[in-house]
Amino acid sequence: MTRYFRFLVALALVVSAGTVFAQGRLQAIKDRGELRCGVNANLPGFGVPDASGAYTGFDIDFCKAIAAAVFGDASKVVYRPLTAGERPTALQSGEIDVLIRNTTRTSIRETDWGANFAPTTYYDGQGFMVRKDSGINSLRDFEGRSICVQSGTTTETNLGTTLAGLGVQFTPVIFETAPVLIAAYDDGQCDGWTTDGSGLVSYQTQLRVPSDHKILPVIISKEPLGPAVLHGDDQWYDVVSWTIYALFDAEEYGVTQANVDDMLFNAADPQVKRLLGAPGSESYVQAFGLRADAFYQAIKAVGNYGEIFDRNLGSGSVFGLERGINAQYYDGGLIYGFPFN
Amino acid sequence: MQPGKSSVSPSTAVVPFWRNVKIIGVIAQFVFVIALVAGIGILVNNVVTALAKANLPADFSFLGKPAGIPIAERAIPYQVTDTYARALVIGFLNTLKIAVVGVVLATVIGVFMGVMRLSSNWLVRTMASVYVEVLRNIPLAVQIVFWYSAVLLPFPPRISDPIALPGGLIMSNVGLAFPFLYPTYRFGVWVPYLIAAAVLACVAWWWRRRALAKADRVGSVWPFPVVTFLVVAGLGLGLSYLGRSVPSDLTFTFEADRGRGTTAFVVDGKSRPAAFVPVAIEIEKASLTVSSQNLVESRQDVRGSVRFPLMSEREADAFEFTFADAAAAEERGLQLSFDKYPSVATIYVDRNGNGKLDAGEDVDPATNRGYGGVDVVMTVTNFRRTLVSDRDGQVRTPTFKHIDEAAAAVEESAAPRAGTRFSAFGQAATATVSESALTAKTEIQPVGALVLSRAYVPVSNYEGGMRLTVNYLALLLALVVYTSSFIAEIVRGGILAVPKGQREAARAIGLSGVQTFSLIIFPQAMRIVLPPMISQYLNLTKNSSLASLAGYAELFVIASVVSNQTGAAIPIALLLIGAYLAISLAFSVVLNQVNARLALVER
Amino acid sequence: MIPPRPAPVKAHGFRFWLRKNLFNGPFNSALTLVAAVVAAWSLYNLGNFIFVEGSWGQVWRNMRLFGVYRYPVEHLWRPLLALGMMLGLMGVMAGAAGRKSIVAGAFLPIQGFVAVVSAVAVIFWPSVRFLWPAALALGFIGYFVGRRWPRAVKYLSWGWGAWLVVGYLLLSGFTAGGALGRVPVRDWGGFLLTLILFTGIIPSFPIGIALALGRNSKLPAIKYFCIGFIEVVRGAPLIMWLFIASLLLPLILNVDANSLPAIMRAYVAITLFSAAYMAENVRGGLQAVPRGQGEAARALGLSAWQTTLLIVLPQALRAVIPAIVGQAIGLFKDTSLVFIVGLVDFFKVGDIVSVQPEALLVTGGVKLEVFLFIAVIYFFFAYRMSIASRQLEKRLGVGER
Repeated sequence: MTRYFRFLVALALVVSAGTVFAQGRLQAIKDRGELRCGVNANLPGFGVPDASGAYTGFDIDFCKAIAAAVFGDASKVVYRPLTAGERPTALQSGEIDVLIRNTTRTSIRETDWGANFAPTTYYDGQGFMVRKDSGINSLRDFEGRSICVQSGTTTETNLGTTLAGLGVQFTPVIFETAPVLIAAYDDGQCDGWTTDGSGLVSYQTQLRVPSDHKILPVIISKEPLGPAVLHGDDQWYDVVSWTIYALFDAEEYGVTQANVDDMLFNAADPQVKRLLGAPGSESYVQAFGLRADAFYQAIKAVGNYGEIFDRNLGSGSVFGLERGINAQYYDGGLIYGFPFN
Repeated sequence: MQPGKSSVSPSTAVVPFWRNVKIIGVIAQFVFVIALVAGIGILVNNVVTALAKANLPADFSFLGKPAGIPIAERAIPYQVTDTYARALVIGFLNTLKIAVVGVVLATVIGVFMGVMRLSSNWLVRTMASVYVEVLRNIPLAVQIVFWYSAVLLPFPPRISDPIALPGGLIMSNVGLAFPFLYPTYRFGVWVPYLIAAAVLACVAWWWRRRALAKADRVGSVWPFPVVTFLVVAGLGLGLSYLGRSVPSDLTFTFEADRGRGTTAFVVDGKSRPAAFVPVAIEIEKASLTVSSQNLVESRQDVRGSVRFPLMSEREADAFEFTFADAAAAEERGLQLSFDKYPSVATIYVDRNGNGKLDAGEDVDPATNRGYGGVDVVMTVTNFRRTLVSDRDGQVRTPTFKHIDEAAAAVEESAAPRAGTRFSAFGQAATATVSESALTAKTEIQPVGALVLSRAYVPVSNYEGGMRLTVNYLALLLALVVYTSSFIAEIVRGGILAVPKGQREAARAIGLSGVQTFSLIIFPQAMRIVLPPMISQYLNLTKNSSLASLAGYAELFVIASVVSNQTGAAIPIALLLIGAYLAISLAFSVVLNQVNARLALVER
Repeated sequence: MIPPRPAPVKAHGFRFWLRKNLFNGPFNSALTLVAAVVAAWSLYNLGNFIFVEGSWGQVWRNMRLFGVYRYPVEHLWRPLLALGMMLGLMGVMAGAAGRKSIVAGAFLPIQGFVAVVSAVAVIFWPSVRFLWPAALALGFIGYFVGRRWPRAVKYLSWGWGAWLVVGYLLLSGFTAGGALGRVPVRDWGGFLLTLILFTGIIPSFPIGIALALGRNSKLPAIKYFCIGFIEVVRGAPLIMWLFIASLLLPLILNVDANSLPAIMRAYVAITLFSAAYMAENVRGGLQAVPRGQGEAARALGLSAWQTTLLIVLPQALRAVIPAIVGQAIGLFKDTSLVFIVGLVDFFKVGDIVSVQPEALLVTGGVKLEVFLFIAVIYFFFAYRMSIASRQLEKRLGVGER
């Protein structure tokens, strides 16, 4: 009943305004009072519930950042854990507002799924892990050996086609879930295993003696991971994209979770002022349909990109991952925040 | 009763048509069918529109597309480039493979446990009860995960140092392999003899029965047909080995440096893999470099061990083992201790100088770990091995290197490599490899109707023989153990249901305890037991769909992967329902037959 | 008069028992020795693992996930109130049936389990310190109500029906921003979810009875529809129906995937699957009712419906109660299959717990510990039910014909 009532009110408003436009997703989210975020609930470092049941991880922090930007409150997120196969349906049916589930940006997904990808938050690639003393140093050394791989993913087909192209014959050992695969690899059921580099790193800590293993200096695919929204709502796409850019920029300009309050009033750099919507520069953020302090709230909630990385994957986590290619552009990486201007 | 006529007669009550049971029935059915059809129509319409909206396939055309799913366990040849249809067929065959073996084993264990539960021995009885009660009250999913993740993966030793059991069995954490007889390309020669043997066996059976009936005496019938069959079939098998030669169109290509080859029939330039062909491979001089490893195996530390592909002493005139970097090894005082000649060695430092490995000498005091990462070179002269190619026509030997090449490779690996983990994208995945100098002499062996294929470990997986992966074994164990606990209860109930008088009568006429059980009680119990047992068999088959928990590529697992990849949920669902219904129909046909037989016997 | 016989030789005592049960002959003695070695070896290894080698910290830390998964802490009183109501209803049943009844035999161990958890909660879990004992108390209150007023049982089926509705409302909250605060169903998990899915057996009851009656119907359209439904559903494994339901139910009903959460899809699949088996059990009961019963009822002038509902069905159901309990055990175990549709039930929580960063720091992982714990909990409840089933069987004399 309330739904109909609300609909009638909305209709009356629209008609009385004399303009007819579809209600955007941003407005829908604001009305609903919560952001629906499709995530992975089973990938350590990227998204996994902790002992209190709260989701934590790299992808989760971006959900929080977007929620903070929209509502000024990072807790107003509803997480929808998705399996790899559920992603397109969840996105297309509108069940989720944004998909942040270590999803590779590919042409098929932009066209078939109808997904618009926001900036890449993690540059990944499919790699291989082997024991240091296994004598395997290149893909050719997999001849006659076995490789563990997770089923139903592009990883599986990449592996098949790449090694077939090299003329290498190997035995695939297929697993439904990553944890089982890791245990099997650690127990020597296969000579190597393959998945995205981030996954390799995140699971290396789970091995009995992590230092006995190495990641081959070979990448057989490009896997840029980033948030995706549904085609056809440019305003919402801009909000998601620029929240990410804001986090990139914050790192570049030295805005952190700790000093953001100070920066808001005392920053001299006009870039920082526009980014934070400081007094006098509110319009840069308000133009997105957000409140002036949207990105300030996002940074306040989760920190800048570098902090998110360090906390979940980098030196501040059990994974101790190097920034590598995910460093800022001025450090030789690919992370490049666009200017607020 | 006819409504039209009854209305004429005043003596019978008038039944208006709306109260006539038959008419109401017809109307009710009519309404029901219309509602059903309409309901289904609406649902189908919903599905079709939804599919069209989501751009998902609703027909079976995807079946012909290449699957790209690597499947390790298969009963028929398969490559990554084969179609989805073939992948699904492999899944179905894998389901049957686990169901058939599982049913046999579950019956054996279940009957054993059921009998144990009635043992007069208190301890045995109690243990059997605990077995049954614990296993049937824990979800199968939990049991599969337990057998797979907690038992079969961590406990057996690694493939590089497997347990070689008598009879050619090899067990490791990759699975179990054992010798197996396979039909060869000359199997056709034997078939006429087999048919003849079957016919003659029937004749022998009929003749023996008639002879017995004529002589009016009791005697056993079955040895006659069996002996006849064995003699004739054996004769045919023996003959298939006579006059054998290698067909001119059968070829064998062998890449010595990759350690693999293919047997194939080449007709008009087209080659077709030839399955189960024995070939002899001879390599004059070669070497193999292996690094020592520190492993956790069977939950124990195995330090500084070097493993070479499992071999028998017979295969080579001489093995020679040296450290790749002899000077460095000498400097560190490293020694090799072969504890299982010639395939496994441990590196140690002879600290007490007695010339053999003592406890603790395999640990480096500096790092408190074994001497890992030390390269050891095995040099072989006149390596000779006869192998049987597998179903796909593949054979594999250890990946030997030419002796000079091996030395060069060691030098290269000693040099520091440039680049870090993720140094660059698009890095060439193909390393340039110089032309190999390693050559091998090969020869195709002539063969009869059957060939014995032995299992061996050329690199780090089984080749030849029959191979059962650890995934299969884990699922099998869980299914067998779980189902056997139900079968045990059924058997126990069946035995208890045999009237007490039967046992007493049997004992009274002087049968022993064992005879009473095997001749009187058990056959009667079997009649009560069979129908519920068959439904347990069906349950086992259906439960095999939990294979994904053990990583076994069974029908449901492959179907869900295909559905994920193609989005063809509806066609896949229909295929799955069809396949499972076919299986359960087959079981109910068997069940009906059994019921009919038992009913006949009872009367 | 027959003279009194001499007193029998003393046939009891420990040594006699030993000789009779363990060492009556060389074969049995050998068997005893072998069995004793096997038993000692198994018990030693199990004990060694549980008390020495196992690292149980990860299981202990995650008790909340095992219990309710992500159900918010501040709302935990809601599932526990629902639990207390359930215990209260069971208590009424048990109390009314008497202390030595089968129902009480099932109820009291469950109360014992709750009592143990309550004790742990009082000591270690401040957020539910008073809630668990409160649930325990509700159970005992129900029990004493049942003892005092056994006639309360009459209204019990209404009580259970009301419990289903109230329980659902309690767990989900009434409305968004309402008095209780809404807890979305996707946050339900752990043992709570296992129990919720297990209640699928309640709606499967009427559906199953309808299918069984339909299968016995003389009207071919209805009869063949019921046969087709029952056989097709029973022919394929539950895991496949769950998979199909999760993919296709939103398509078939043409609804927004969001309005049909995974838990609902799983619930529908479990209920229908259970109903097909229920129908076969009920049919077995219908066949067991003597024809004369129905004929006598018709002769007395009862209508066909009255005959079925008042005469035939009650007798049929009574005969198949043990089979239904057996089916309930099966369903309880089968709820572990919902991992396939992405639900996090008690079994699936094990997977999550064994990949948390803390678990990764334990060398060799904690899989064995986690799944041993899960197995013990499942066993406790399933075994309790199977004992009840056996007692029922004995009481009804089903196995003794």
